Amino acid sequence: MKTLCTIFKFTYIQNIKSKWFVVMSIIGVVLIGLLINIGSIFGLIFPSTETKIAVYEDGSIGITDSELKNISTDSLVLQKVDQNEVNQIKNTLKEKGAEYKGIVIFKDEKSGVDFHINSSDTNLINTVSTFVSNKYTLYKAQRANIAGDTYNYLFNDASINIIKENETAETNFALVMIMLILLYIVILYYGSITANSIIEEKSNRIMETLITAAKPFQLFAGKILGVCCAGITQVLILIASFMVMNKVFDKEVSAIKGLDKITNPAILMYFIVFALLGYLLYSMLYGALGSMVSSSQDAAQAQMPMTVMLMLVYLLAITASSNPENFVIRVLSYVPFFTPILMFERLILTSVPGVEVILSIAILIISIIVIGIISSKIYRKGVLHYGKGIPVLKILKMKS
Amino acid sequence: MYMRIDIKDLQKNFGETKALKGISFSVNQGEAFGLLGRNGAGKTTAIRIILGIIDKDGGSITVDGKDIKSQKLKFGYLPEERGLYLKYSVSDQLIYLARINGMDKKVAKKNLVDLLDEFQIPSYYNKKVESLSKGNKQKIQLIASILHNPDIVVLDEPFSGLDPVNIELFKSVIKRLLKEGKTVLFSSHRMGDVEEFCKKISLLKSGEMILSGDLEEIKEKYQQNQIEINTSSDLSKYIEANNLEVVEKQEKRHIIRYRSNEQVNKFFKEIVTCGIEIFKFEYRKPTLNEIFIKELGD
Repeated sequence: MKTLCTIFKFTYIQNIKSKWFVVMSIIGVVLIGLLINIGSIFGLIFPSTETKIAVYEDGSIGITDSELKNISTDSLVLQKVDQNEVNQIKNTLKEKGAEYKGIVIFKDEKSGVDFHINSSDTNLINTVSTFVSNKYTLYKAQRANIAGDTYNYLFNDASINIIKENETAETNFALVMIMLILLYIVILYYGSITANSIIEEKSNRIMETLITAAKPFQLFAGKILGVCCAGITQVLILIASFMVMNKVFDKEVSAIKGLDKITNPAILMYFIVFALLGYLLYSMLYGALGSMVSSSQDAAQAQMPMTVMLMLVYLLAITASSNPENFVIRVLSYVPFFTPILMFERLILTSVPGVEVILSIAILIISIIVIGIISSKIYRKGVLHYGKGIPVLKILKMKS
Repeated sequence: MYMRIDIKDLQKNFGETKALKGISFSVNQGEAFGLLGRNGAGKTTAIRIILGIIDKDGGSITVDGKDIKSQKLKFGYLPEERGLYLKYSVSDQLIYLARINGMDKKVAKKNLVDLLDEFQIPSYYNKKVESLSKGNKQKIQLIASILHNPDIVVLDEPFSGLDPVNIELFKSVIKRLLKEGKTVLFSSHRMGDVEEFCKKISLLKSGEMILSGDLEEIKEKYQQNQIEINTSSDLSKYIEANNLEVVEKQEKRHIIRYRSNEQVNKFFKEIVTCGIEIFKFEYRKPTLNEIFIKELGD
């Protein structure tokens, strides 16, 4: 136990002292800062400019200045112009620095309305078009002697009250996406750190010295737990910096819908539990695969199966986000390799009964123990084997 | 404290390959023992079994008659393929290695400072291993194998890649270890160095022990009835008169084969009586290198 603790402590300290840990933490904190201030940053990069649209009518439609002022916003201003200005505005629309970006010309009943615009901003086009269309319909209704009540009856929107029963799902969508990316990164990043560190010990041949002093199981478990705690430390640094920056900048993080829930204790707890268990499961496999190759050149190749597997789970999770209660997704959320990501996704997007959560975590823990035993066997035999990679089954059959 | 390690009929198979076909030898405490053989003879396998890294398939390893696993002996191992953490500092990794070998941190730190002094590199305590020269990395590696004060030190090719000054430094440290009562197990191709330290050796060939025992006795067995005389005078008429045979002649050095001791006595008397100046006269014993080549050469 003392040896295991020493290995764990050494792995942990060397990991948090490493350049990569410091660099990744700084990058993470900077990214969080950017995310929190995303609104202000967008405003700085794309400052909102006022767009002026000219409106001309001969007086028959009856558009008033106050009406135009009402639909104008900070970025869109509608302004009435005289007939003698129409041609000049039309001709100068394409010029750089022109006063007006567009002009609406109400013509006679036959020709309808022309809307000249020098912009591809669909929001702007839609706002102006809706206003023009409503105004023109009202004008035609009056001409056809349709009374105000009948007009309202015919053209006002049917009063449909949309009551969203899946409010949680919608508001949590962004949260799920961000948490899934985090989970994916934590499992993939720390899993590959475990594999690389085993490959490094093998390729620089210190393994022979280590294995004389400690049992392979102690080396394997100490390494996995040490990297795991370094990972937890890094995630905690990121969460703490999120909380601090959120307070300091006093921004409404809900600009990204539901993101403020990231600090919700229940969600955080589930995240930590699934990130931890997911890391343990995958890192043992990463470790076993790492112990089977001899040099860092083979490292990427050895990690490929796990990376592909994780990507598959991640893509499945993205697809499942629109329908997390799909039968296949529900079944897969109990399969250990999928549980950390899919069950976490289901938990946030829907309400999963407690029994189901406990069952999935229990299956995951049992799998971690079984895979841990198999992986440490592979590790024990793999670490002293140099040369060409050997099949897993052959390694397991090998006598030590 | 223990007195003697006995290895009896040690066997190991890797699939169909018989890596060790039953080797036996004994080492007393404070002695150096040489495990010799060509590459692939089974030396590393035998060492790994003794160190407890891999399991044996047959035979026994006992310490004073008791199984080695029950004795909790501390081993120090300098593997042939040297290996250190390149990115970590000397002190970080050496103290770590001493600690997983069961040594207290404070004691490990103190021992490390003393050993760095002994190896004449006291300023390397906080240096990263990747910044060190090959010779200095070798020193760190040897320190790693003896820092935790082991009972048995296994040295696989300890002098390979070292310059003559560092070889002497390593030898002085090994002599100190032997004086302190450590048992040293050598595996080496440099026969001269093995001869300097080991009273007993074992010669392995394809997993079999073809020669084992006291080095002097082995040399006696391999005697080739030769004498070596160094002189600047011409000896040809004395050699002819005594019916001796010249095996090798290099300037002043003559290697001569004889059939009986009487022949040598008569020859020696004659050249002394004739006043021939002799710089060296000795009954020649084979070197370990010659025995190695004779037994293991193709």
